[in-house]
Amino acid sequence: MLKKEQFSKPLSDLIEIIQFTENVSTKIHGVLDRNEIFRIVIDEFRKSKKYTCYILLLTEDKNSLRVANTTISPFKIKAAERLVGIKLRNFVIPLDKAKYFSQVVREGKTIQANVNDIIGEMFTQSVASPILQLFYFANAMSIVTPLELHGRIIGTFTMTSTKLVEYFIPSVNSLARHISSALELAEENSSRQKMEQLLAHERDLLQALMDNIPDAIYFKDQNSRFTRINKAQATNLGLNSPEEAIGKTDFDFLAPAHAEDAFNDEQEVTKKSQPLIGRVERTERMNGKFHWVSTTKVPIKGQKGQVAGLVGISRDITDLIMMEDELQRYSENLEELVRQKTEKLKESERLAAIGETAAMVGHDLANPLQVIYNQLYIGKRILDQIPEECKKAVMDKGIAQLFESVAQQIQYMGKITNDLRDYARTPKFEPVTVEAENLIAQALSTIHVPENVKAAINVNTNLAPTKFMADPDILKRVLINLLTNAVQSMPQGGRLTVKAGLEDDSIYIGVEDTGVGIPKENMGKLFEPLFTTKAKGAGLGLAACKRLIEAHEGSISVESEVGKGTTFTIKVPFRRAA
Amino acid sequence: MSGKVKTILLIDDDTQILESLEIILESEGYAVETAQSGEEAATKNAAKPFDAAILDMRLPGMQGTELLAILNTKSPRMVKIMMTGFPSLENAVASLKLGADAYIMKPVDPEKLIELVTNKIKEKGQT
Repeated sequence: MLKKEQFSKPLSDLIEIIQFTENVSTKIHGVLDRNEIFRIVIDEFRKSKKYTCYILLLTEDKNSLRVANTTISPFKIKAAERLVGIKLRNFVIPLDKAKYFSQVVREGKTIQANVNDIIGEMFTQSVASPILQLFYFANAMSIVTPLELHGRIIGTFTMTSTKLVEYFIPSVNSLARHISSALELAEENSSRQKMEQLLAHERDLLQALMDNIPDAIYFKDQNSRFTRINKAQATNLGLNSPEEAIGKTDFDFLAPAHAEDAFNDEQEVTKKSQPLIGRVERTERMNGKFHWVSTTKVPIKGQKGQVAGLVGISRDITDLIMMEDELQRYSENLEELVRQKTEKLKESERLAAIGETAAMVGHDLANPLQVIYNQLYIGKRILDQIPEECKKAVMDKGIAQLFESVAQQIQYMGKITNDLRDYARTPKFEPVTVEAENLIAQALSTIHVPENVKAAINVNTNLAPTKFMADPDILKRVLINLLTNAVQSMPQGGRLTVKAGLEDDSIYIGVEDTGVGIPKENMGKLFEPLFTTKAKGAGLGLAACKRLIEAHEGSISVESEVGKGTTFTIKVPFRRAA
Repeated sequence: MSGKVKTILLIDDDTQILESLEIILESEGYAVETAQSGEEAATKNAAKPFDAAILDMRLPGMQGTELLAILNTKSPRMVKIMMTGFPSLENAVASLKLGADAYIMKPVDPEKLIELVTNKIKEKGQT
């Protein structure tokens, strides 16, 4: 109850408290930190030395109040703690035990009460007395008013003084409201700061992603102008920094056709609001190199749902494509190998068929040829027997040349049947002791060397006296073939040289002519059966030579220059005669 | 060369070869008889001696080499010339071992054949 004489207190007290609380309100105006607000309020009261103040805040469970700040100095608190044996700093007041505080916090009332009563209900007499003596003047009054935040009570502001009277309440309330609104501002500021921090963090993450991801990322507006790109994209566009791209389009960086394609794709994305996902494209970089990229472009929508632009991400998949290509090449190569093997198989079947045919033809032609040969001979004899006067007339008609021509053709045919038989034969290698010069001479003696061809045998001294093991049948057949070819290649005459010698445990015999030579395009096919450039000949001679020499565990090779001549060289392993 | 006419036995299953060679050799002054098979040749050779026999490697009923062996046993001093359309080293070696004096390939120049036959008969006559 208020006492009558209190109404007679001077008006100046009221003015003073109004001025004081307004001053405190001004001081905390614009302060955006909760604890700083509390500190300023408490500081001002402390400076006034007229009031003891508490700011208490509800604990999280809202069942207690905890001291947040007070004008009572830490020294005093420590002294009181020592005296009563209770921890008073940040003291927690359970609302169940504090009727006055409970009314303020739970009912939102502002109360005025004697501090003795307030303290008395919280502590036992032995604790309450020293606290009251130490902290307060006797019979001091307290005004306790709620502190709010967005309409919710979060604590209390308590002001205690011996001079406190009821009509101070509006001023204290006003101060509490100012504190509350300052707290609200601080709260908003802190949540805004938190939001900003969060945003900044997000931004940093995005930036880190943009800067470090090897994929190219770009944002574009509806007109396909770059609004933001990352470092990878800047590098792709040949720029030093991503900022240089802003406001520009693909047309500023890419070949017109490619930029056009990209632009059309992007218009599709933004106009129809349809994402383009995983499009694989081949693009040319600023450095002129071609790359394969997988591109995804998705529309970006504004707040009202309208398409504001797009974001694209391009991944360089050149290595992947290369790998796929490589794989493709491997598989094609495999197919090619299979094809070649099949071809080879077909070829060997063909060769076997040629062999059989050759054997048959070679044999079956021998008899008819022999008959023709015989009849020609008989014809010549008959011609011899014609009386001289008739003979002249016949001879003038060129009968002798005719006979000679037939004889030549028979020889050609004989050569063909020989070739056929040679080719058809499975050569058997049966070495005996031989000597190079003799062997070559024998082969040379079996062919007809025209007078305009000068033949020479030149055996190196490293082989000349040596006898060795070889199959003379095989070597002679091969040499006869090569010598015949050599002579035929020199219709205008020339030099035919047969060289032989020892080289790296091999015997070489080279047949060298100064004839027409072999064109390069024919060199590869020379030893294939049925390949021939001659008007007459089945094309089996060199194929047979190859087979024969291979049966002799040797090899045959050729060097030739058109217009200069040809050298065929056979090489067989040197086998010392026993 | 003595005045006595030299005789030659020709053995081949090809009648045209037989006929043409017969004409050629007879025109050179030889007396020629022909046989178309190994049996016929063996019979003719048993009936009378020849100075030379020219035989084909491939004959009906009997291989040329078999006939060669028979002829060589009966008439070791007779000149025996093997002719073949399908020469092989094995056949050549076998022929020479069985007593052949020459081994030639068809087609052979008739002039060279005459030369060969004449020389071989001369050689055998001297030994």
